[in-house]
Amino acid sequence: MKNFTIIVISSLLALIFFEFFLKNSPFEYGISAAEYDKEIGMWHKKNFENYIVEACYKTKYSYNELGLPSNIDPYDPNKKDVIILGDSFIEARMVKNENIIHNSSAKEFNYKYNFMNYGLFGSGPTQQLVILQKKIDLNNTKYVIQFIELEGDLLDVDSKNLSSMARPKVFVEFDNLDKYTIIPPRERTLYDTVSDKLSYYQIYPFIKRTIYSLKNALLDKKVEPIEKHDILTKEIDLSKNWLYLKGAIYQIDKLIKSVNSEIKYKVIIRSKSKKNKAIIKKFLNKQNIKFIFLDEVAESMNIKLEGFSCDNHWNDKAHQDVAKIIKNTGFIL
Amino acid sequence: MLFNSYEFIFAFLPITFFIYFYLNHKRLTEASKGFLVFSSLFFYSWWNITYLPIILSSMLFNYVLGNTLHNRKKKRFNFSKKSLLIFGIVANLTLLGYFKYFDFFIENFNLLFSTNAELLHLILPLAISFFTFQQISYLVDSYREETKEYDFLNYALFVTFFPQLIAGPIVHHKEMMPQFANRKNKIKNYKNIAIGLFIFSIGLFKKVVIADTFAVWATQGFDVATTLTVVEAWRTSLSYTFQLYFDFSGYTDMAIGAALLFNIKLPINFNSPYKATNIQEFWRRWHMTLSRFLKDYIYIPLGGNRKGEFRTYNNLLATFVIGGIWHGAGWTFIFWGFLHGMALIIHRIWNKLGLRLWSWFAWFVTFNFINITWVFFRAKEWDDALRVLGAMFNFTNISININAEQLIYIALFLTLIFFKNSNEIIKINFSKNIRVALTTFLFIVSLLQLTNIMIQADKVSEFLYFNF
Repeated sequence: MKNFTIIVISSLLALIFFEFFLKNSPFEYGISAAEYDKEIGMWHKKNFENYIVEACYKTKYSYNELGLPSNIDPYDPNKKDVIILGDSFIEARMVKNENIIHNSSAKEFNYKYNFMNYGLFGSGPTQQLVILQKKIDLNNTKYVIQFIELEGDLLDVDSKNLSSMARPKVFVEFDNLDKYTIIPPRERTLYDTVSDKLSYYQIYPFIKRTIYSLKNALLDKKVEPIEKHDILTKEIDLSKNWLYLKGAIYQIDKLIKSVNSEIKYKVIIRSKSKKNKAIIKKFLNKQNIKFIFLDEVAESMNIKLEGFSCDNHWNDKAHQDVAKIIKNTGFIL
Repeated sequence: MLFNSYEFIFAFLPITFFIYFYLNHKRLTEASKGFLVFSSLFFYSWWNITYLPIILSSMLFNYVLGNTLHNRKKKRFNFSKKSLLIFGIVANLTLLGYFKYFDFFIENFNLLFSTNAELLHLILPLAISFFTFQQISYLVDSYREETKEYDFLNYALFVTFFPQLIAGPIVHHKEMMPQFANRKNKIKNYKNIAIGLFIFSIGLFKKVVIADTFAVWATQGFDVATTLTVVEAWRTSLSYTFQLYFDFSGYTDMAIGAALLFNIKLPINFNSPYKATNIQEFWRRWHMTLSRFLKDYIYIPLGGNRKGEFRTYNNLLATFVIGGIWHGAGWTFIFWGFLHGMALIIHRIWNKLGLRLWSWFAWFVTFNFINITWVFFRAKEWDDALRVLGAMFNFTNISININAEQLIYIALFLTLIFFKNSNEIIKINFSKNIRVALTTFLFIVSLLQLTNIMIQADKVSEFLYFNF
């Protein structure tokens, strides 16, 4: 019993030391930016700042009282809001706060609007629809800009593609464009509570990655059943995914118009597939929703949107360039 | 198989340990030795089985030759003992030279004669530098009739015993064979097991927590960064200085710890080398078994210090240039050996003149000399070495921000200078509880970091001296 106690105490001290070691060594992970949210599944920690660390960057990020990436200019109720929706490319923890798209846009438009970044990693159009419903007050809004990455978002709208290791997420299932059901994230469990507590320590991402690696090694396969490049290279039936994606865009447009018909909704699309572009183009034209294909506009402006070498997310310059593109296209006046 | 791998720690080591002592418990002594040799060869082959025939044929060749050298009084052959010994040494060096130095020779031949001979691109068989030196020493000992064991199984165990097979310590036949033969060593010794696990945990901690952390900073400076500020350059060189010490001494601790589980005491290889206050003392503290080999089998046979002062200098220089090239086939290694040889000559002259330095200043000069010469040892190309060295002495842009990383450097400096080394720590008479607590702490932290390295870099890091 005495030996057992010694071993337990020593192991706990080892864990404390390891946390300190991770925090002060090149093996730093950073601290999880999200916590459980009963409506979306996960949301950014509020009034929180930390570092995101990968091989090619170590960037300090910060979230405000709403859990949004901080603004360089304080919120002014006398100015109209511009809501930006998107995934981790838009949330952009790896980019210096002052250069993230909402702050770059604020600079481009000389601080004329309150640019608010509702980008959330791992979110697709269906989650963004719920974010718009539950988190955003549209009463002072003039523009809603949604970034869609077709190949990734076609996966994100389907709950089957949610990894068992991922945080809980809300989903929306459509029978047709008008009829849908919100599948709320699962109830908060002890696992979520413990995760949220642990997520303030470096050891949390370490444990998650260890379990993820072990699962992959033991199952000898990736956890995700479909990967992004599969959409480009294989013949997969995505009719349901397309319905969900189109349904989300349709409902976002409908919601905005129901609040105020003066609010302008614009969609900015990234895609490597001509076939997918053709499908979405036909749909958006039919719904009379304004859109651009980002890569085509960037090319016409001689802009190359570059990403980080280690994970492809847009770098600081790319965010500044996207802000220029938004201004150049006249999306926002 | 690597000491810092799950398969070694949780499968190979415990399985080998239990079967070895089970066979001894059943009084199957020869079978237990045979099992240990088999396990060691399995350990060797885990990485690449292709080179198993090389170590087996090398062992057989040296065993037969060693036996022949020892039995020369029986006059079965017409060759003189000396010619047999020379033949044995040349054969061993040819094998080593073919695998390790042939491409280096071709490269220089091409450069010198403007030819275009193709390189062989041979992969260096694991541990060849170590088992070659070990067996050369066995041949010389046989020639001097200082060996007594002539059973092939014992000889095979001496060469292949897995804790020391890959990267030393380079052991003498006479210090190993009596231990393998000692009956007391066939019984599990719980005190040795406790101390062995403690040393093994210290070594694992040194390797995966300390050395692999410094490896990240050293690699960044030497292989990734194109320009370095003066602070970054010093950080790079110091990182490698720390990495090399903690990596190799960590490996040695793990080897000593693993061997002690089998009641075998391996010689110590490091004794706080960075505490040295002169270069001669450094070589008495760094890779001690290599220094012993170079002294006994190169420096003394060349004449040592018995043939006048000038020959002594020549012998010192030759010994260290050979030591340099033993570490790697490259001019940077040769130059590193040359610098150390020159430093030893200067130190000898300094002493002859009766000059003295304050001890802290002597330490400062010695440590910085070692740190600077490691730059040549680490750099893949001359240009890399010159880039780092140039930046270390370019004081035009100095900005120092004290952060956690710098504090780690300062803490390690203080540890290296004032703290006891692992050989001294294990001699401390800890209570059983403290030893269990320390072993658990070091082992758990090391395992966590081992997992961390695997998931962040997707592989377990090799030991530096595996390349030599």
